[in-house]
Amino acid sequence: MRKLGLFVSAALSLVLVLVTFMAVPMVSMQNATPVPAPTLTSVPLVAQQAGEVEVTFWYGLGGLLGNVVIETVNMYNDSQDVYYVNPVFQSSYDDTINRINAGLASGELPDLAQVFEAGSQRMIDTGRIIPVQTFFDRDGLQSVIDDMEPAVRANYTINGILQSAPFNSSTAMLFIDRAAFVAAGLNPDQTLNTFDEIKEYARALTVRDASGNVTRHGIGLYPEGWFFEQIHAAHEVPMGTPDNGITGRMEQYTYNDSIGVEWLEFMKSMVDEGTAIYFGTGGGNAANAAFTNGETSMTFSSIAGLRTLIAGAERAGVGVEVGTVFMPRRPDTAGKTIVGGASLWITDAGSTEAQEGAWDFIKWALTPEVQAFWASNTGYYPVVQASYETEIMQAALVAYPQFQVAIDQIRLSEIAFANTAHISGTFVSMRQDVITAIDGYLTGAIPTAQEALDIAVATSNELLTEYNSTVSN
Amino acid sequence: MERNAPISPVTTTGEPTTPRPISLREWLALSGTRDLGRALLFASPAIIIFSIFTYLPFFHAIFLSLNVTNNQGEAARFNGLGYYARVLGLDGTGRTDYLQSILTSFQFALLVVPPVILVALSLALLATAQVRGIQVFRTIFTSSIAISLASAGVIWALIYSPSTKATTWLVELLNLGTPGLLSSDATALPAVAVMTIWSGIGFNFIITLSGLQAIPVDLYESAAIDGANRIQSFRFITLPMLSPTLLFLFVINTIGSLQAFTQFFLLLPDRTPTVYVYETFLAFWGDNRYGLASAMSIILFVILLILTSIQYGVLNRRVNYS
Amino acid sequence: MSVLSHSRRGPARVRYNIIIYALLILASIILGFPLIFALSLALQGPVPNPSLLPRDLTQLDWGVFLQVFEQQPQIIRWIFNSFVVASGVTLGVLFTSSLMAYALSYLKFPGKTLLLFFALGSLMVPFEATLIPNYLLVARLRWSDSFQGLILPFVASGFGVFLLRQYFLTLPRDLYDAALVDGCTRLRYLWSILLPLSRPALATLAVYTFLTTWNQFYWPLLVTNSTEWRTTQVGITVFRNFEFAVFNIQMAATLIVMLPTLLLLILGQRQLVSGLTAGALKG
Repeated sequence: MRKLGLFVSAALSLVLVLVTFMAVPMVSMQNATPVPAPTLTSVPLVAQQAGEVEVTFWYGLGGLLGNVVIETVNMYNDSQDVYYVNPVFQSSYDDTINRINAGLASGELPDLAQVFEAGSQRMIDTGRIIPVQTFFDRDGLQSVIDDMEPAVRANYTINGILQSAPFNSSTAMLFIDRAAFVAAGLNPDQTLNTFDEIKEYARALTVRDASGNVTRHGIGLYPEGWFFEQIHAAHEVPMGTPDNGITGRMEQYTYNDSIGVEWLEFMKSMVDEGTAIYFGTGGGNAANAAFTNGETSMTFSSIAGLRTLIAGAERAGVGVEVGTVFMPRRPDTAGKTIVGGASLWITDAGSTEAQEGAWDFIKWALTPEVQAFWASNTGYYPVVQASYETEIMQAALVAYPQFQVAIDQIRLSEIAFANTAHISGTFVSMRQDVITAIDGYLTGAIPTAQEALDIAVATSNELLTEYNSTVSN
Repeated sequence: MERNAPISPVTTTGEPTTPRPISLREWLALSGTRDLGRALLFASPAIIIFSIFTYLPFFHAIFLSLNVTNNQGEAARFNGLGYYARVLGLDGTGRTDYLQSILTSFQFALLVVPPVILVALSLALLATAQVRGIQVFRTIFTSSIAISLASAGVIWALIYSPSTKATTWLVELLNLGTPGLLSSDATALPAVAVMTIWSGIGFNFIITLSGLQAIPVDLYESAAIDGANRIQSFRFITLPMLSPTLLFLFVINTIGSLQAFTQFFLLLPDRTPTVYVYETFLAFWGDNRYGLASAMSIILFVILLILTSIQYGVLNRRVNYS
Repeated sequence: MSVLSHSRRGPARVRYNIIIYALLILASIILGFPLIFALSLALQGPVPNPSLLPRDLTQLDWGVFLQVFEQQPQIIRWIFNSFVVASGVTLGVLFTSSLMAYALSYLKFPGKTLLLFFALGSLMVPFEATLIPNYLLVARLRWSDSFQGLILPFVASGFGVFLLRQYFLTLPRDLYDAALVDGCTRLRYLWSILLPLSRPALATLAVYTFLTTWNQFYWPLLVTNSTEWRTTQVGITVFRNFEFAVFNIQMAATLIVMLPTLLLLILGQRQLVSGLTAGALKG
């Protein structure tokens, strides 16, 4: 037995060594210049040149999108030799915020950080950020701010100042299978739909076999706080007071309102009818996979995932044609949705040169060409309107008309506090409370939507009050 | 006086004598402090590490649990026993969500501990068979000990995922109405329990097998001579002789399953209600409520302490140490 | 001694063997199912609908193991990190535990019981109770994304002190007394005589510590941040978030990461078994 054991372990070691040695040349054979098509193959970083000021950049996008981030940073580093942006992946948006909090105590903060919209109040509360408005004003670049997509600009303007620079902006869409729509006699180009209409579509799209079992559900659902906020915005109902936390610190959440209840009941009715399949908490990936596999014909997702979904549908090869429509709403409601994604924050952690370097990168990233590159390779839309005049962007819009629907959705109505993303110090936890409420109600654990939301709002407010008591205004 | 004169006040003949003055070295030797300096020196690395990374943090956790903390983990406002009341459902708001998670943890332990010991026992019995190549099978049965919970979690997450269709037959059989076992309230916890049992078989198997092998052969032989059949010898010899081992496994597995974290992080990430340790993680990592999370971990410490004492106290009596 | 064996001859023996082998093989398949599943999914290529077992056995995608390195070249670094951390903790535990166990079993001093309780008491404090302050400490010391942050908190082990002390106590005391009389220093006795004699216990502690440290998840999750500092366990979980319908690379990565510990198990099985049981059987 010992001999057998030795032999097996020797064999395994040999395999391990062989694999390692064969992998190394594969990795170094990679192209030095980044190729724009987003793939999962890891992208190597451009090296730092001597004398360049290092700007540490923490970002939270991974996978396909993360690779485009690296490509973007590589382009910047290649384009000039004064600064070197060093991107450090933080595995998720949540982890980025946690790291920054931990860094407050240790002093280990990045010069530049990509933080999602839910983290805005937290970033302000660190007391270590420099609002980008300062740099814009100093360099006389108000025109760039004026040219930003209004919804995007509004998202990051807190207390009247542009705190951070928008970088990757998205919004929520209802993704549809255009082929299935046409086959069911529905109109895939009707972008504005009511809750009732979506329920109708779900019925028409659900396919049952001879014994009555559902073989294709009309829509796939999973609990997500962000969609809940989108629905509030589209109906111009704030999530909390005062003014969604935009003019002053948010004191109280009020989202257990009628539109919140209606959204939950909308989803539940489809689940009960059998036209929707509910994937449970953490079911986003499963829902997307089911959509691209043709097992459902509609799914909610972010426009940022457009290219990923299209690639998935191609790979699945069952004829799913990815299309997008607006988030559903009550009749006669044409409110805009809120901007998701993340923005770039400059901290005072580094030297003045590093801060200048962070600002230089932001200026570069906001140029129409770079935004066009970013948008055309991901599903995010450009944050500066001048991008739409570039060839790249125009080509992208032709190739991916689903994009235009997203852009239209964030321009549906005038900017107001109620249709802009809310700001709060406990945003992330609030989303978890909403997820719990949705899950409890959709699984039947909590009998009514109102009760589910009441519990959630009480929990959110407990935490918000506690958080507010620990920060000096 | 001579150096070797007796120091004690009584001579060998029982007559009292006056004790002679002793040197410092002799006193040190007698009271056993001769090696004190050396002992402290040798033990110092361990003492330093234990102090910095076990005991100091423990007391710091108690301190944090009495305060509301800010973003950076510093105490911002004194809270007294507020968090303890909140967790234990004693704060008057009637909310028992954290108590519920303690209950869920115990439910989980109940789903894991008896089956894993039973399966390990059955496998260990099977593995005592005297057939050729039994050692290969023993290694196979042990192998789950080398597979981390994280690796097992990633694999089992896929086994249970609706995208791989590996368990859809079961979902349909049970008529769950959800896409996967992990999305249904009824089967989510048992599903994670099955994965935990699988993961724990290796360790339990090793211990049980060794316990079986330690039982003296002559006991079986004399039983056989007395006409006992297999079932009887199992009941009256194997089980009693194995009872210390089984008690040990029972305690270890219970403590382990009450502390389960990795598998919940990987299989049931956003799910509430969930188990207590995962709730603690959410409070700390997600909500940055270091005070609350510290209170929760202190409560866990007390629970484990009580539980271990009970298990050893109560069950020890039924254990046969011969 | 087997509960199952009674002496048999001839056809009864053959029947017994068949039943036993059947049960053994059945149990092995059931137990090995998750690994078979992982291998099967890894080899089926990037299909969105993998089946339980590969449909076409001639078209197995063995190249997937290389694709893992392409998609995540850091996996090599992860293995290196885990190896350094596990070795570091193992050496540290051997060092601190043997010194402390030596003091507790051979040296004479007051407060010996207190020191013993101090060491064993660390076993009573669950990991969760010290987690948060330790995390805050490590963050403050800027030890996230560092080897010291991953290694130092675990370098002393109550279990190690207990195991080694038990073992040292079973060795004859006269050897020690004689050595001292001969002028041997206590440290030299430990190094030249006691430790070599304690090889079985040390090997057990080493294998056990290496294995459990390699498999750690919660602490490295908190303390590592950038991709290159991840350990294998955390690395493979971060891996899985980026493809929502295709699983082959993720499974291949998981299998690769499992190899070192499986190897260790095969090599160190005897040590591991004897050590674990030593603790268990004495109750």
